[in-house]
Amino acid sequence: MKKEISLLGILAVLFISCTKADKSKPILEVFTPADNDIIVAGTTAKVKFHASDNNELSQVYLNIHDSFNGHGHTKSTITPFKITIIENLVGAEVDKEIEVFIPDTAAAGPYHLEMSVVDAKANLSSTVYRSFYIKNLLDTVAPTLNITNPIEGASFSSGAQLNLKGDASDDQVLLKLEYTITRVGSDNKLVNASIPFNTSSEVFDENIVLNSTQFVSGNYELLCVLYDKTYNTSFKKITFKIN
Amino acid sequence: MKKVLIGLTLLSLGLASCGKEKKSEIKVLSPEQGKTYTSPLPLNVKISNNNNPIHDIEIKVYQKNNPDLVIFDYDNHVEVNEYEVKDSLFVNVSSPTQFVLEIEVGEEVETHKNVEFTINP
Repeated sequence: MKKEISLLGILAVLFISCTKADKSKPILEVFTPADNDIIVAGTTAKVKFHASDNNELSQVYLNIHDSFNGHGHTKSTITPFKITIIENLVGAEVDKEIEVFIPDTAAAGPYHLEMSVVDAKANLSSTVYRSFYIKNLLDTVAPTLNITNPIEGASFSSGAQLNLKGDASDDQVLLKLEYTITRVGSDNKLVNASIPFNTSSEVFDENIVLNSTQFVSGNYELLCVLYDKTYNTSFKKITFKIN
Repeated sequence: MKKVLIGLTLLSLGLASCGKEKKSEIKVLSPEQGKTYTSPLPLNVKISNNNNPIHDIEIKVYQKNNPDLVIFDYDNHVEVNEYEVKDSLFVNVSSPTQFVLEIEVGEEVETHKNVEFTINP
């Protein structure tokens, strides 16, 4: 009986703490990295911040993830880097620097940093975001992309086939060619596919069906993005017409 | 002993619910469930999350009896609490055809919404 009462007591305290009297959110300021900073893979990123609360801080949450377009990247020794760090904070005011090692296998490209702090009463600060780039010194040379077909301004009938033809090369090894087709002025990816590569020089020749249900008359844009194994990119845009 | 275990379970559940990540809210302004349209028709989706950034947004519109026929495919990753997708759906159909608008939002906590509608020639 005594145990039940003490458990109920703890539950009641917990319930009160959830419906807390202290509803003030802690404040978080992030000084580094700044937006558009470039961090080199194989070095340490320093995340400097100041957090404060009217009462007592509890934890800081930090997440870094890639902001590449699309998902499900091809497996490679070089991969998009991601990390989540949760550290305890003590006191009502904290100036801290968290060191995040960016491995030399981190893919080059754009990344997001997302940070927030929580106080002892579970009040969450506003989330702070930073957009930065990772540069990989293993390879800083962008690959070369050449599209020979279709040509800019080409016309097709709805239901026809579009032949995507060209070549790609790099000083290292190529990873893939991603291609999308959108209607001009729209973000709708009517075609979204990729061709895997494994050497430093590749030729591609793909037939894309312009399905008559999806492709009504109008202007469309073919976007081709070429990746090397370090995720350096090159792209080409070609506008064509469906009659 | 049994009561102590139940109590501890409740405690952990209570603690977990204190810091729980909340789902995003999805409002579909167009197309509306059960309505009939002709091409082109507007697509308007509003997503919000008061507690966390939205993260991943995936929107697909496909033919109900042929899910492989996708007429709208959109994905994005945003670090904001409110986001609106405004676009248009263009499609060629020879008879009234049912379509499904499918929305998936979030990263660790996902929110889903489906809307079914018809497009007439």
